[in-house]
Amino acid sequence: MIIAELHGKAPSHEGMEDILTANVFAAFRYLPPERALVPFLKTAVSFDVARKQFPDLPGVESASYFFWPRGRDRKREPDLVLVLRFRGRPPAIISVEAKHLGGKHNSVAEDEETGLDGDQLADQYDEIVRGSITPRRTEARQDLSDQALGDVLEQASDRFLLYVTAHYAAPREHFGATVASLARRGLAEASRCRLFWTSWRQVIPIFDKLAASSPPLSPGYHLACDLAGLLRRKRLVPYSGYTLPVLAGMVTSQPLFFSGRQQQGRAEIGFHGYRMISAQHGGLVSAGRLFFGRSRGAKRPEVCMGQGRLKGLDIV
Amino acid sequence: MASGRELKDIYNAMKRICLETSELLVLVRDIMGENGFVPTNGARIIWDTSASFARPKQWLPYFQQMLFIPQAGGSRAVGINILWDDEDLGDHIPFLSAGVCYFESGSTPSQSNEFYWAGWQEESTPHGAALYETVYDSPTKKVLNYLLPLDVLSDESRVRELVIEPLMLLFHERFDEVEKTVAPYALHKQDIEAQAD
Repeated sequence: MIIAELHGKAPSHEGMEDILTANVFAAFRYLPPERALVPFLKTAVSFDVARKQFPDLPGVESASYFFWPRGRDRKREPDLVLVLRFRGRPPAIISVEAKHLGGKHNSVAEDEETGLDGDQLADQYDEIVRGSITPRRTEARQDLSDQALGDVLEQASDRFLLYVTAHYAAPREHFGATVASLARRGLAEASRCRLFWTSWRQVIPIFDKLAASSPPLSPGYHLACDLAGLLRRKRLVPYSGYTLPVLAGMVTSQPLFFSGRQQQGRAEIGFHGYRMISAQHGGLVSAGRLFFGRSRGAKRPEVCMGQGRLKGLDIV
Repeated sequence: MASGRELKDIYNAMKRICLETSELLVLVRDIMGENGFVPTNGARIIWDTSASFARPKQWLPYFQQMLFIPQAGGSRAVGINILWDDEDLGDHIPFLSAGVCYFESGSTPSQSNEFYWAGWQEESTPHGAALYETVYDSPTKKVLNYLLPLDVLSDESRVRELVIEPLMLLFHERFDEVEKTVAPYALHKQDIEAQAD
């Protein structure tokens, strides 16, 4: 899917957060956790005003990815549940909710009986705390052959919610209702420093770094380059100011170079579609071609434009 | 005569400027939101364009403006105005104006034509090394602002340093601190007039 989307062969998935989630987190899954997933988690900041960083995760042995599991109680479907296993301590669980262009999918009506207000993020954290998550069958077979997800949820010492959006900065207006909703459910203390946010824009520096540190043409290099290319195409990149546009005259539908033609004893090699502005030659000089030629018997090549020769021009 | 390819390249370059301006505005909106400020005018950032065949000079937007107020409301707004083109200025380079607008007491700030003009028109007077003060007899009573070339806003940290933090300081009327931060980069009226010449 990454390649098809990268080359414009897939239908436009702009704003389709499921495809984006699949592309990014599947790439994480193919790599050791410490190379991509853990650095990404470290970019997250807490919902509270203290903006605490995601806790250190020393000694992650493995990470299991459960895409779109089902919540049994609140009937929610997180985009992903991550199980991080450590050497010598209980696993950690992270429920990931990803957005691209949209906001939270809150339920419409408040349930008077339960007091639940339908806040999507609160519901999903609630289900992680209760351990009421069922993986899809294919995921269960692949990742938990020896242990049910339910057991892992029971053992987990840390349960986190990670909210991923395209914002450049934490969308605090999304957090208040979630924190208030969890407080109403008696989960204020349990969720303290357990709710985090990060941006899709934090992914690309990780994959650029990975590409730079991978042997050229290795699988890791290709994976990193493809995903970084896809995110650039979607413009999910850190802000980098204005870029110089490609202007008319700098682009030509012809091949840029031509070479090898013998004309009147002169061998030519040069550029098509060349345009030059020269104060010395009275403004715009448009020759169509700029080339280096050597006349028969001449000792040094000459700089030529079109059919003529440009006198007194030094190319540096 | 220009070729179709050349015209298309120019059109693509125009679209790219729109895209990159949108990214700057979204960045500012997101960070202001993180600081508890909301846009006064929703997502609307352009006005005074024309859909008429007879007014081609107004087909293109010539500025974008975003003002923000605290979530609690109030008649004092801070924001930015990016000015690409104005006949009074001739062929100047585009610049960004950042400032605080004092609206009439009791009014609800939205957009401000006065903020568009502030800092580079005759009535604007220097307020220290980088700021300008302009007083109006209109819903926007006073503007204190500074002007920046767009190319200094090269990444998020520069936007935070030269736009967001000064806007927070302007809102709290800590003008001396704004001067210290932005003076090395700020444009002055005479710079803009000189460019226009």
